[in-house]
Amino acid sequence: MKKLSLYIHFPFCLKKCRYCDFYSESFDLPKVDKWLDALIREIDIWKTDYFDFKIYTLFFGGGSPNLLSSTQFIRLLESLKTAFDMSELTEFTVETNPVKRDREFLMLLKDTGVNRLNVGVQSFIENELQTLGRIHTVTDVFDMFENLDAVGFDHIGLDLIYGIPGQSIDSWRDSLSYALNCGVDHLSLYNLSYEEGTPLSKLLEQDKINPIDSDVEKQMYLEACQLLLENGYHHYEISNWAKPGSESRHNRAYWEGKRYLGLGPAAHSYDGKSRWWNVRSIDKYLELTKIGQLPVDSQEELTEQDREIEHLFLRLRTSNGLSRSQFENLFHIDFDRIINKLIKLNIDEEYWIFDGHRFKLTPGGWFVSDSIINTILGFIEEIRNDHKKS
Amino acid sequence: MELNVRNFSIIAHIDHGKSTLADRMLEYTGTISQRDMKSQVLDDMDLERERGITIKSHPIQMQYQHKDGKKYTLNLIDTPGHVDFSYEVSRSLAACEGALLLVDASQGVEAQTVSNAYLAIDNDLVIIPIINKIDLPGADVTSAIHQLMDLVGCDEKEIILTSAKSGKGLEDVFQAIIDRVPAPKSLPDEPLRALIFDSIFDSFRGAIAYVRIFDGEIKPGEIIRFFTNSSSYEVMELGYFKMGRVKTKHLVSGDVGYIVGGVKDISKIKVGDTITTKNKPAENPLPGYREIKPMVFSGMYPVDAEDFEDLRSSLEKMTLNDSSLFYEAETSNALGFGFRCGYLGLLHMEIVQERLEREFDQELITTMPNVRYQAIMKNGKMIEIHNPSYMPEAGDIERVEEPYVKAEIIVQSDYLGNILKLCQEKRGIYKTTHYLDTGKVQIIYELPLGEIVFDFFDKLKSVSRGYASLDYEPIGFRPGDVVKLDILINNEPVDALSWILHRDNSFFHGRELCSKLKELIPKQLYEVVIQAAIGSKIIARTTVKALRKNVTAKCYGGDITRKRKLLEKQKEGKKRMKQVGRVEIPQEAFLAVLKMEH
Ligand SMILES: Nc1nc2c(ncn2[C@@H]2O[C@H](COP(=O)(O)OP(=O)(O)OP(=O)(O)O)[C@@H](O)[C@H]2O)c(=O)[nH]1
Ligand code: SF4
Ligand SMILES: [Mg+2]
Repeated sequence: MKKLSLYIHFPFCLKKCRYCDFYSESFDLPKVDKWLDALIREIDIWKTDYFDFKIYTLFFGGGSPNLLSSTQFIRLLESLKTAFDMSELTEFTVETNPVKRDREFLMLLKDTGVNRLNVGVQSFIENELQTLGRIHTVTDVFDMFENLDAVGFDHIGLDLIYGIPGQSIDSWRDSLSYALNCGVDHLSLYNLSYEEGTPLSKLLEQDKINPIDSDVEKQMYLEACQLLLENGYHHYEISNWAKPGSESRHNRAYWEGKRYLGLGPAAHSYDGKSRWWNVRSIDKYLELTKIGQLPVDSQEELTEQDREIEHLFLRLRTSNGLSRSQFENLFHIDFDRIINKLIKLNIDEEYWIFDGHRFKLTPGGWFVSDSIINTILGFIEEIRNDHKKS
Repeated sequence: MELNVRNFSIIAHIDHGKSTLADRMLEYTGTISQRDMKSQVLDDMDLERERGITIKSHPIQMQYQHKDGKKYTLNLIDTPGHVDFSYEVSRSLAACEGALLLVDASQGVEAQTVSNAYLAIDNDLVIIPIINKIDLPGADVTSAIHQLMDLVGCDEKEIILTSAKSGKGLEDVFQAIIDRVPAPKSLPDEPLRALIFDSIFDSFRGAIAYVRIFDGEIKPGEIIRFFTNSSSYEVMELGYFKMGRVKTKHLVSGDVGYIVGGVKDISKIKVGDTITTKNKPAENPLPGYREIKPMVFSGMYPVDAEDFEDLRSSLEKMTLNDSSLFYEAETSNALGFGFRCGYLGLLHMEIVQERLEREFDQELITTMPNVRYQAIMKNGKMIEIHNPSYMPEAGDIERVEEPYVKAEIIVQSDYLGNILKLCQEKRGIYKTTHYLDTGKVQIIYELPLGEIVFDFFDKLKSVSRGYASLDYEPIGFRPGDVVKLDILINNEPVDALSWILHRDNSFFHGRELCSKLKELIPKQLYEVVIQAAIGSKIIARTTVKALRKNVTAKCYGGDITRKRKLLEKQKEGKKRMKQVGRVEIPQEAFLAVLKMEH
């Protein structure tokens, strides 16, 4: 059976958060209708290509997709069901912003098969929400969880951000314990990053905000790792924790190199050979779908080397780590040579563990994982150059 | 028979308007069409245009119709003014009978006006003194006239006033060239003697020699011979210079032109060598050029070790067009196989590196520049040191000698005090002062070369509001209290960072260098300790703390391409680093010393 993960991008938010570089425009109901028309056309173009696939996971992200009206949501779902085989859908996630939390809509989601809700909380501290430029308040968040309790979802995920200017270790601990009290089975903790072009990064350039020292960020991360471990969460990827069995299957599909199809502006897709991504502009998206064209911006064929790099970093970001045999099959290099080189580097801290079969990064290692991955890529190159010479 | 030919160079201090005057002459004689005309048209290298200075001498031939009804062939060579390129000037002068000596009316006589005037006098050339830029509001023609008269010992009425910008005075210049510059001696029947005054590598034709024919005559197909290595070659093509090379049937005594021979081994062509023919060889070569000694040295390494041979052949081609560049192979524990290159100054160093990168596609790492030292050993032997890391053990050395120069500084007398103070700080020995006229003074100092190659010139400019100009020439070696400063990274000495300097400066500079390196070396997965040492004594120490964070937190929405590209970018950055032990050092670190306050 051929499986496919589906991602749908809803490109609207009520207000742009200051750190955000996802593709989203300001919410405008008539435009949402147009988006939906276009999306249905895009689905139509793809359906023949994927007629013999079964949709395995469905992720409705954005933006703030819960801003959709009930009728719009039903329309979207209907067209998905006519186009794709959804009989074996195991995970259906909808991303939500606590700004909109009416029980009727949540109920509709549950009734139509959504079995996982992800709530963008980011912080339980009012002024941190303001620094981030979030539209909702802490009260909104508590309201949201009250409603979710009433409706009763099987799986709920909650996102938090650490490293927010003005945040302290104490306020971070507070946010974490509030999050634990919400009783969710999935947590994503993201380190705030200053993405080029965002208002927050401009403030940073202008010296108008004080970034959190990376030593403090590391402490925040390591404390969270410890706390969540004690509370029975499985740290299954750099920034993701879940109660055993509640890991996000959709994300796993990304990390394990499975096929996925992204619909909507700026959505990304992968078919096992190449990756492509849609135009990052709602107007362009409307224009292209109107004339029956795929709204693709560009695509890239993965080279052998791309595949190697991706394998390395995607695996090392997960708790399963890198399997020795898979590595040796892919790279044709004895993994012991990598380990020996790492040992020679004599890194000051415990950044990795190797049990002879699997090579995994520790939380401390994850925090410098880009450097470690690059170091290993450097070793691979060195070993290959040595081969060439001899 | 007197030839209707005149061979002359245009010489001056930097920026006094040589290339602009050449523009006007080319325009006037119709050598260049209106359409192709642009300012300083002879500065045809990208680097020259970007920097607005002439780097290479540039020969070009003009056909000039004189008032007397006769037609003349004028061979002009535009020369650079910067002190680092003075070898270009002296080589050009040897191909000429006359020189136009320009002085900017608003600046007066400056250091390279003096040195270039002496070069012309040494070559027995007729000097035509010209005061240029008379259109400038700040022009002080009277004072410039006095200074020029004093310098070349001429009469006031011999001096021509021009504005190369507007073309004013241009006809007087032509008149003077015809009247005063002697026609070249015509000896077409003598055995061939052609002086190679420059050469160039052309990817289609190979090595091309730029020559001045003194005696005899030469045609394609003839077999020529070089005096220094007596190898012989067939002449494939010859010609003269217009905006490009123009083929001709023969070159004859008095001409300036080029020769393409079947010279495969480009190292056979030596600037200053004399060409003669195999069948009717001349007995003696022309005088040639004085051997030029490099002033500063620096290591040059390929970024990718595999490009070493490629760099060698690029350097070989480069020396064809820049005979003042010196190089020899060397090795470094940090950088692998490379070359020690010798230059006439820091600008020269910069230009050579840029030309190698642009014209020969080389990617280079360069190390800190240093001057040459002489170690007199206890056993009486003398060792020349071009590379600080080759300095012998202190215990084996009797003494070290450092190079000195005679420096001539010309400045408005208001700034005399500042200049004296600066020279004193740089361990200078005062010699004399000479007043050029009431406002301007020439100061002579003896200074250690090591003190002036780095930023002395900038300092000089800043204490004189940009007025001071400097010229210097080596006067030999003198004992100096110099020490070798080593840099250790995680306890391993990095040879490419060693530095020889005066003991008095060593503590301060050792500390400075450590802190500069601390800025340049990025955080790594472990702590990096940087130390400066003299012998076994550590004089400074800093650390680069271990990296705390380098992680892309989110790998969201399937945008894996972006994450991979980010990693690839970091990896590219890593590639440009050099590994010393387990520490990665960026290329810029090897030039750190230049970025310091001296
Ligand atoms: N006002 C004025 N400016 C001039 C005159 N001659 C040259 N210049 C300007 O002076 C500057 C330097 O002129 P160049 O011709 O490049 O000087 P150069 O002597 O060839 O300089 P180098 O080759 O670098 O030594 C340019 O900006 C010219 O436009 C002149 O007669 N009058
Ligand atoms: S709600 Fe999410 S998608 Fe919308 S602006 Fe904020 S961070 Fe971006
Ligand atoms: Mg010039």
